[in-house]
Amino acid sequence: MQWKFARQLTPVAAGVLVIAACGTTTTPTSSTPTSGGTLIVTYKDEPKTLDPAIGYDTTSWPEERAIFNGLLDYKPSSTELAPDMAEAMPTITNGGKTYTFKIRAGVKFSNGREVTADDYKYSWERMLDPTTQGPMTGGPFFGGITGAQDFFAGTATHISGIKVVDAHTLEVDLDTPNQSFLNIVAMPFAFVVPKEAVAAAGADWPHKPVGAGQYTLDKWTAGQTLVLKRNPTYFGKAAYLNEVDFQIGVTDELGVIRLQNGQADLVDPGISLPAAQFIQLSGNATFKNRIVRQPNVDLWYLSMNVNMPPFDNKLVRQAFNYVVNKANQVKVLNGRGIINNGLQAPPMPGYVPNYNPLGLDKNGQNIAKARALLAQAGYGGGHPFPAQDMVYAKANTDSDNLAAAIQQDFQQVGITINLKGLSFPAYLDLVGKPNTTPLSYNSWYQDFPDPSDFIDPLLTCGAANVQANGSNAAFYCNKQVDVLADQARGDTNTAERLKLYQQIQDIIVTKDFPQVPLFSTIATGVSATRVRGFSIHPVWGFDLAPIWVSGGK
Amino acid sequence: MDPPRRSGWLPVWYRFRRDRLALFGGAFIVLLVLVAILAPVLPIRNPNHGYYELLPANGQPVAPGAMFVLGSDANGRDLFSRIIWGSRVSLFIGFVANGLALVVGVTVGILAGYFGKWVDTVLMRFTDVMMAFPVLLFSIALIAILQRSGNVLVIAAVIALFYWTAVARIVRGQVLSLREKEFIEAARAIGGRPIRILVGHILPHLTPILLVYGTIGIATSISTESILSYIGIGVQAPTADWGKMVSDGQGDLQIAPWLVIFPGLMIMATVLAFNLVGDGLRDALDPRQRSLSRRAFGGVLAGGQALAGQLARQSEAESV
Repeated sequence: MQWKFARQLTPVAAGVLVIAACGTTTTPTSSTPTSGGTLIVTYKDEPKTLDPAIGYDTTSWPEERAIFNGLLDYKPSSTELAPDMAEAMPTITNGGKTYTFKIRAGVKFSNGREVTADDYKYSWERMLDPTTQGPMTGGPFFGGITGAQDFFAGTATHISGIKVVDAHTLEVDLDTPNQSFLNIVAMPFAFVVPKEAVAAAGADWPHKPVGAGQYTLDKWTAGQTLVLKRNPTYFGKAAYLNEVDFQIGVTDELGVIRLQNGQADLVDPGISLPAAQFIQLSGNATFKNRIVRQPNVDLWYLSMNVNMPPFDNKLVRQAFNYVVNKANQVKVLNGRGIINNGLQAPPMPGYVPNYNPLGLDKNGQNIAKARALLAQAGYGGGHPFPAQDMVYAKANTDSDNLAAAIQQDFQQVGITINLKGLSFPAYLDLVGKPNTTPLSYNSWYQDFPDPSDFIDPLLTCGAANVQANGSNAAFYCNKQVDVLADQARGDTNTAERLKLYQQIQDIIVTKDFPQVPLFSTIATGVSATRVRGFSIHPVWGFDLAPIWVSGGK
Repeated sequence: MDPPRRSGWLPVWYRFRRDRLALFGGAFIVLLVLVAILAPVLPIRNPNHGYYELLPANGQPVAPGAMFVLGSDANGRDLFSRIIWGSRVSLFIGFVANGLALVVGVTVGILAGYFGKWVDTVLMRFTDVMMAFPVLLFSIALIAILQRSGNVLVIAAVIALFYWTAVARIVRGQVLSLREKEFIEAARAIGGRPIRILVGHILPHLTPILLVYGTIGIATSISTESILSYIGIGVQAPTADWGKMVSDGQGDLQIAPWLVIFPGLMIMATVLAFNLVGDGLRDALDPRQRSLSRRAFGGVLAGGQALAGQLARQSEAESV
C-alpha cells in the first residue's frame, strides 16, 4: 500500500489554514436548553467552500459539519468516536481489514430523499476522484481502501473495496489493517452527499450544498454573510437555534468589540483568541468567566534536517534539544500552552504527562549540557558554530515574537540564528523539499486525534522519501521506527498499540533527535452572555450542535 | 529672497532667535541627533533583548514604570531603548533621503531654469510625470521589485525618488528670475562659461531656499519612512524603528497603548521640530514674508492624515 499523508505543517502561530484543532471547558449552563433564536458569529475569513470533498480548513469545516454528516462523529467535548448516521459502531472482521457499517433507516437529505449505502459509495468515490480535485485525491488517509490506487490511476472506474451490500449496509475493505480508519471515516471528507443535487448544481455545488445535517444553507452572500437555518427533516435531535448568521470579514478585534456591545455572540470560534483580546477579556468582569479553554491536539517544534550539515551530526541535534527556553515560548503565547518534551499532544491517547527523558529543567533547558555537547561535536573556541537560517511561517506578530525568543536562546550558546519569516506557501515549499532547509520552526495540528497522525506524516521514511511537498521537515528516516509504526497502525489491542507509540517516542526523543519538541497550545474562545453550551471541541474546535441562546431569541 | 550679504548671517540668526517655536524645534533636533549618535554608549538596555523574566505569566507587556521607563513590548523589550535606537534609523533616512532629493532636485531645477527651451520642457515634463505617481503605491512596488525591503539605503533612495520633484520645481522658479538679474547678465557678458555661472553665481543664491526646503524635506522624509515601515515594507524586525513600532503595537492597543503612543509621539515631535525650524529659517531669511509657522502645522497635519488614511486602508485590507 502506498501511504500518503495529509500535509498539515501549519504556520507558526495558529493560522486559519490550520485544521480543526481546538477545544473544552464549557461555560456554565444553569438551565435546560431552549429552542429558538439567531446566533451571530463573526468570521475574519470567508469559508472557501461548502463542498465536503474540498474543504480542509477551520473556517469551512464547522459549516460543512452543520449541513452534512457521515457515519461516525466524535462525542460532544470528547475525542471518543460514536455512531452518527450509522446504527452502531461498525463490525470489524478479516483481521481488521473489513469494516461493515449499518446505516440508519429513514435518514433523509434535506431534499426529502432517503440516504442509502449507494450514496456513500457515490460520495466517497466522488471525494477521491481526481476530477473533483479535492485534497484527498491521490491517497492521503483513504488510499488504503482496496482498489483505491487503481481508481486514482484511472485503471478502474469504481473503488472495489467500497461495497454496497444492501440499501443500508456498506462494506469497506482495506489492503492492510489501520487502527485510525474509523477516525478517517469521521472526517468531513467522508460525509454523504446526494448525487442528484450535486449534478443539478454543477459548478455551483460548493455554494448550493444539500446534506442530511442539522442545518441547511439559507443564503450565502460572498464576502458578507452566510446564513444557516434549522433543518426540519434532520433525523436526530433538532438544532436548538432557528438560524445561525455568519458575518464575514470582521476582524477579531472588531468582533470582540461587537461581542461586548451585544452585537455578536461568537468571535471566530474556530481559532484561538488573539493575544490582546485574550488579555483584555481576562481582565473584564463580565467576560473573564466566559473564556473557555481546551488543550489543542498539536505540537510545535524545531526540525533539524538530518541530511544537511551541521545537523547531520547527531551531537549537534542533541545539543539543540537543551537550548530553547520553552517556558518563554509559552509566555509569548500568554501562557496558553503546555511545555512538551515528547511527540504527542495532551488530549490524545498515548500522551505521557510530564514526559522529560532528557532531564531538562523547568524551562525545558540545560545550557551547560548543550555547551558540552557542542564542544564534543567540535564547535567552540577557534571553530565557531556556523550561523543558521531558521525558516518559519509568518501568520501574525506572534510568529515573529516566538522566533525572536528562540534567536535569543541560541545567542546564549554562541549560535547565531537568522530569522527567515515567510508566507505560508513559501514556507511549505522550502521545508517540504529535501536538502533545502537545515532548520525550521513548525507546528503540526491533528487531522484526527490518534498518535499515528503525529508519527506517520512527520517522522517515517515514507514521509522523508519525497521530492517536494513533504511534511517530514527533518527528513528523518529510521527503519526501526518504521517497523514499529507499521505494527502500531494495525494493532487492535489499544494498550499494546499505545506502548508501541511510546517506544517510538523514546527512540526519537532520546536517541535520534531529529526535532526539538517545544510545546502544545491551549485554544481559548469567548461567547456573549446569552450564549449557552459553547465549548471548544477537542477535535472540531467550533461545534454548533450543543449551542443555544438564553431565552431563545 | 536674496542671499544674506557679507556677514549677513548674523541678522538672520538674530531674527531666527526671536522665533521661540523654531528655537525649541532646533534644540529638540540637536538633542535627538546627540542621543542617536551616542545610543551605543548610553547606559540603556539592549533594544533587541527580550527580558522575558520580567514579563508576567500571561505575557502582558509591562506598563511604563520603575521596571521599564516607557514600558515593554510583548517580548519584554525595553521601549525606551527601542525609541532611542529607532531615532538612528529615522534620522539617517531623513538626512540621506533628503540629501539625495536635494542633489537631484537642484541639478534638474538649475539646468531647466537656466537653459530653458527644450531642456526645460523635457526636464519639467519628466518632473510632472514623477509627481503624478502615487507615492506609497509606487514605493511598495519598487521595494518589492528590488527585493530589498529592510535595507535603509534603498528605503532612503526610494523616498528621494519622489521628493526631488518639489525641490526641482522651486529651484527652477528661482533660477528663472535669477538669470535675468544684472549680475548674471554681467557674468555672461564677460564670457563666463555656463558651469561657472551656475556653480559660482546662481547656486549661492539658492542657499536660503535650500536651507528652508531641506529642513522641511527632512520632516517629510521621516514621516514617509515611518509610513513605509508601518505598512511593513520599510525597516525589518528586529531593528527598532518608530513606524514599525507603531505597526507592531497596534494589535495590543487595548492592553498596552504605550506601544503605539510613545513611538507615535516621537514621529510627531520630530516631524514638527524640523518643520518649525524650516519655517523659522524661512522667516529669518526673508523678513518680508511671515507665515507664522502655518507650514509647520500643515506638514504635521498632512503627515497625520497620510498615516490615518493608511491605518484605515490597512484595517480595510485586513477585514476583507
